Amino acid sequence: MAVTRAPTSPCGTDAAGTNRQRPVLVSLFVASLALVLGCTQSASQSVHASTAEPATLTPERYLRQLALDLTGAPPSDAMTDEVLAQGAVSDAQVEALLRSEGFLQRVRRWHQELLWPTFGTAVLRAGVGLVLVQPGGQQRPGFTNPERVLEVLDRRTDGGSCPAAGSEAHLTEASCCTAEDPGHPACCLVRNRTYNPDDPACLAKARALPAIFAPGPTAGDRTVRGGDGSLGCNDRVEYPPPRVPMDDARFLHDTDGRPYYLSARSGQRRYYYDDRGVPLPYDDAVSCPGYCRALVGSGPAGAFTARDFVARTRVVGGVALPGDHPEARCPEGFAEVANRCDNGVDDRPSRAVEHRREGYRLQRTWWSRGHWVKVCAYDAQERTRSLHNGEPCRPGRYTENTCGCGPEGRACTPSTGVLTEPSGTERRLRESLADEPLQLIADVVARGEDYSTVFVTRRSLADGPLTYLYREQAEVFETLLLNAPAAPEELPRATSWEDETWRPYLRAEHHSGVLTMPVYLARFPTRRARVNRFRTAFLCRPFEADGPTPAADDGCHREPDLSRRCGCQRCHAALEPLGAFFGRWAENGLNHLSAREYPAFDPACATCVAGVSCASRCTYYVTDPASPQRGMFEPLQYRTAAETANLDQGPAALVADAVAAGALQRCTVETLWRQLLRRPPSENERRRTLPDLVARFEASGRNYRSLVRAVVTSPAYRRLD
Amino acid sequence: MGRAPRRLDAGQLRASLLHATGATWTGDRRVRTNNDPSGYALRPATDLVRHYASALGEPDYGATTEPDLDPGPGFLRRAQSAAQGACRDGLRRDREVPAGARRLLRAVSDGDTYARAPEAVRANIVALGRTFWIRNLSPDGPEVEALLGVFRAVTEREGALPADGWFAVCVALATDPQFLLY
Repeated sequence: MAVTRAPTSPCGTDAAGTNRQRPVLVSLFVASLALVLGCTQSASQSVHASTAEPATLTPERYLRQLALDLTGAPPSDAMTDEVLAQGAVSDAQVEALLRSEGFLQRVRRWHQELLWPTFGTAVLRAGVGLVLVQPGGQQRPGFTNPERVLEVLDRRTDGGSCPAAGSEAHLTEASCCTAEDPGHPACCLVRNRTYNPDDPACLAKARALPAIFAPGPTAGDRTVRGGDGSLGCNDRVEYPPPRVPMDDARFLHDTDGRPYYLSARSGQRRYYYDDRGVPLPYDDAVSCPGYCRALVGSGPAGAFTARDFVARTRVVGGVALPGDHPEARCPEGFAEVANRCDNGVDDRPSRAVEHRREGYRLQRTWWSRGHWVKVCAYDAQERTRSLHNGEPCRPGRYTENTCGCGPEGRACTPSTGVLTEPSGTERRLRESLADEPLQLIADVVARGEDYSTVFVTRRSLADGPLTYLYREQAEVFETLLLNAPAAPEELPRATSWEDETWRPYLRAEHHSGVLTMPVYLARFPTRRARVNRFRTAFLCRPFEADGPTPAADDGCHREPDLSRRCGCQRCHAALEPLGAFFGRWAENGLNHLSAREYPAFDPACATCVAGVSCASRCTYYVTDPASPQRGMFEPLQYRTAAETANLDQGPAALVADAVAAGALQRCTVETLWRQLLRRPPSENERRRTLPDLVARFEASGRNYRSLVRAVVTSPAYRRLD
Repeated sequence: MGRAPRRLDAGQLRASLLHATGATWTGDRRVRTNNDPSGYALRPATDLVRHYASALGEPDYGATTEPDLDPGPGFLRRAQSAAQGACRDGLRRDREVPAGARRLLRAVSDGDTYARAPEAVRANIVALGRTFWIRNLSPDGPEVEALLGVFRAVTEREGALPADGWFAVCVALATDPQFLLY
């Protein structure tokens, strides 16, 4: 091999072996590298490195490099011993590394660097966030995550002495469980190795912990409970289900199973639910306190307004405490009002002080891992459609009292109460969504399939959280609209939400490998961003504008079509038609917009007034009254007839074009080269080595593992640089 | 041209420490939580390589999209801490497992000093060269002599134990460029 550069060795000496002066930091770094490269051995080696071909790695260094690159870990002791004994790395050893589980992990890692799979700070949850009811029913910052209940339910302490009742430690301390009190909550984990939902002590433990509810202005029960939207239920009162079995002696009930109780306040029969099965507040002074109303209304014509209502108060230690209490009084100028304690949703001016709190129900929710948890009865409602309008229940979207969290509580997710800090359940779902494309890539590589399958296949894989999300929660997924990728019968069968096994399944026809997975669509939220990332990462063709931009006052800037607007067209002339491949995937969403549901023209969207009378579906249509294309499906705007076809072909056609042109193959080779060689290919390598690797990649049926094998056994990879 | 050397990324650092010492870098850390009124909770045995992933150059693919594999002062500081943590826990582990499963005390027993068992100490350094650097060190070579010097300098001080010497040797091996770069 001809030496064309100055005869400098990587050991910091010139051809004559004399030391040259370098800045101190550079010297330190070079010295470090020199150690790695094994350059401290002898002068003869230095001369060899400086005057002939670059030195080839010793077998053991080559082995370490291979193992770290291909598996992310050093070689095993056995493999090291073999290589040291035989003085070479065998093909079988390279193959063993390529067939290891660690290799698939590395493939995932390399593709992470290309796909950037993250949702950033976006809130990802099914429906609304759940928090714990705080003492007194009012939510406070901190100490809110319902997952804390699971942690206590699973906790057993062995301190030796039983703490006082009322403390959390009292529920978990094993010594509190005695023969005299076998139903004590602590007996749950004394009698059982893990939480046993059938053991009465485990139910007692659940009953002793706080209840859970969905606070905030979007929660369905806000208008019922009153307060400021953060009022939880009365978690000392247990509610039965809306209908109890006739032989259930725990609750009084009518002949049709509708449960009731005798009010301690009035002595009368009160029902837990109205005749439709919607919870009623609990009729006592704690749940439905009386309040005070001004003697004269302050509104027009003496109408009562919110400021005419105040809570009854009593003074304790100089502090005014609101609420119902025998000693509580109304201020002067106000009269006491008895709380109606009903479940009407009318917007009462008394809402701030007219609290109407229900009790809780014991439920096993989708996220509670089989544990019983206390869910406020409004949130525990299981119906899927509103009793008011028949629409599907969307607790995060509509304010109404007949919708709760649905079956298994699937429309509500534990929350920390702080948007930027996801709960464990939210984090787990986020991790699964981010892992989804990497699982597919590893699966394609493990099966030895054509690498382009990664971008075009309908196949995907799902673990427990994804299976549950797609099967049960797609309709209530918040922040970003999502359609399930497949019909329920096509989705895999996970054993539970916690199931960590990824199982393959086939998505609907319009899906296209990793390019239509939620994390890709969310990370690159527009058509342009999606195409740009694919072109940059997988075709090695980033959009780069060249040439000067016309002056700011040039009239050509007023051209609405970016693919023709001066300056912009240098990128957008190519970008806009390519973007059409993603035209059937909503921008800022994860949902597919089928041609059947979203035709090329919608007359309703052509005549509505944006922001006033347009239906939400018109978001995807041109509604600008000045546009001649008003009413057109927005991704079709400015597209030619040929480009229009791109929409319905989807991203798979974009990939097919790239494969046909050889661009995907060339870029895959170059990207892998950069990853493993840690430098771009030289001009010489671009002319000679890379085309050879591309040809071998093609010949292998675009087998990614074969390509990796070809690179790591190439002379360049085995040379010291 | 050949391959440009690079430093270990966070995952490779964790795996390399585990391979060489039998332990990873763990410790108790205060983490933010809403489960406690103080806003913080003590998380025992936290995986500190993961905890400091960002400082070790791992991208989050949101704000940062490229791994930072610069062997700069920030990385070297964490690598030093990681080496100390893994070496400490690795030595503790070695005292609890059968001789055949030991990673650091491979050719010596707990009480072996250089004065009492010079060949065993030397052989152990050679064995450590294999697991840390994947190299066969010459028993009489300069690297073994240098590491032996570290061992003796530490253990020949008043009150020092052989374990203190192995801790120093372990940290020296795990902070060497031959370990951190490849």
